[in-house]
Amino acid sequence: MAAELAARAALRKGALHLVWGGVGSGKTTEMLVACESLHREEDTWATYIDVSEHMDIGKLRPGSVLLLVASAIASEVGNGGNKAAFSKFVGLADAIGWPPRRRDSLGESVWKVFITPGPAKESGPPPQMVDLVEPLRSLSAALASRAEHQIVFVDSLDRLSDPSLFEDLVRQDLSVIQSAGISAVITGPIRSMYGSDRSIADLFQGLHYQPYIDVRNDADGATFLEHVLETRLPGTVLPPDVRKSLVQWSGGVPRDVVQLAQAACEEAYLAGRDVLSSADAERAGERFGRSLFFGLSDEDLGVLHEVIRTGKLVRRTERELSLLLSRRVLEYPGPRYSVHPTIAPLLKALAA
Amino acid sequence: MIAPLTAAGSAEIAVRLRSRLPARTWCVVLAPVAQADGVTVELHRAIEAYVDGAGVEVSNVAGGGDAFCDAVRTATEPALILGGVEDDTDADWMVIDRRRSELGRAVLVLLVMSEAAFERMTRSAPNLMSWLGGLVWRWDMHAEDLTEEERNMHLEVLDLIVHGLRPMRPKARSLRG
Repeated sequence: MAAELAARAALRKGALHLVWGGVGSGKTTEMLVACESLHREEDTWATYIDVSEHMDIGKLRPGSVLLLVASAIASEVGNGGNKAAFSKFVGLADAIGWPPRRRDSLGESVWKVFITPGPAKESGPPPQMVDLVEPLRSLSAALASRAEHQIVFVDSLDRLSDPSLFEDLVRQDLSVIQSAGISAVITGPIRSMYGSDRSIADLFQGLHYQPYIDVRNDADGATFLEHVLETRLPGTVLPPDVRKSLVQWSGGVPRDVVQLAQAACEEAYLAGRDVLSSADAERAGERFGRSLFFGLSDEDLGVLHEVIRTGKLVRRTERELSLLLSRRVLEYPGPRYSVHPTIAPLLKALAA
Repeated sequence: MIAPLTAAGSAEIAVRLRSRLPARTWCVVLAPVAQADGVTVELHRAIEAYVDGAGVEVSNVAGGGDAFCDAVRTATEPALILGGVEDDTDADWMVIDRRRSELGRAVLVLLVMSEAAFERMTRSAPNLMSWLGGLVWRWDMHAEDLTEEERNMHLEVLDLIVHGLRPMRPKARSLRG
């Protein structure tokens, strides 16, 4: 996905792109790779902002994302010749009660750039969002002398539990960023995309779904995950057949394949062996499945059996969404649905 | 009850965790509320004994998501045993899950909680759950029913396993009960 994301984000100034997908599907990794590849381009400035590193996402409000993006650009260009623009953002910072709970890295930058040495706050009412397009455009223009294309990758917005707040941020903060000619790639909550009202999708020029890798039907995808393991553990420790087995147990969830490999290492370590065996992989998968299985209700089990039987998931209620969010059910391109391979044997045993 | 979680005592848990450090490691030990304090003491002792250089901090984070996150963020030792989450609601776990970027330090975090609390965690903190990767144990109270001499022998066996002495392999298997 990273290559496509980078290409599309660079295609048009002021484009908005949404990345969404399940837990542990690798959204952040893809965004970081895309951002790094774009930043290497001579005429492009790309930066990655993990909002959650700077403030409690639960306390996020419209204006915060804009301020973070503006401060990232402002720290590049300095306030020489941009005093009027800085003044507007000081007003925004004041209006939304910046600084947030913690001040670190970019949060610190916001403080340093806009507040400590900044111009005096403008008198009068706090700026409206629409008033901030020109100030941001002027900061962007200052940066354009060395990087015509500017792209921000904003991560962690997928953690917003309130779809309406996400929509507000897109309609307000992202709209200003877009109008200033800056492209943005953001993560979005899976609930917003699975909900009954998907009108939010219309606000983006690109939707990038990061599905799990269908390791049963996608040989290249399975090979990719095997390669991920190979870079961590050489074949002398993790033989190819065990690697393949771990990839299948993971159901194509990148985070799970790494966790399962760690658990299999632990099994071999406890048994005093230096080389992992298929039995280690199986034991790791079994333990993993037992913890994933914990807490399932009879109704949940009914849905899981239905998924096994049909390969489909009919999203009727919060229950189906919850099974997706917790990776008990995995969604693949198609879409095809499958129960996580580590809990499938337990379900089979239950039915027997 | 199908698919019970793996039962383990403090020594086995400590040795398993030893193989994972110093990477970020999160795990859960399920124990009845009435036993939680005793379990914490046992785990504290075992981790200090079996995880090289691991000072252990114990924290009771009763007070919701903010207290939980603050305890992990400010921990000064490489291993942290957290209790006190019994009254944490689904909303508290959602806060913790949302603030997980603050929790990604390369420390060992061992949560001691009841099954009821763990159910709330599984329901409301899917991202944090994905960090566990199967490191969830049901407390095996009988594993600790040893005399001092038996306990020392048990720990010696585990130590030999840790150092890769092959003759101990059959004993290693016996640990799995």
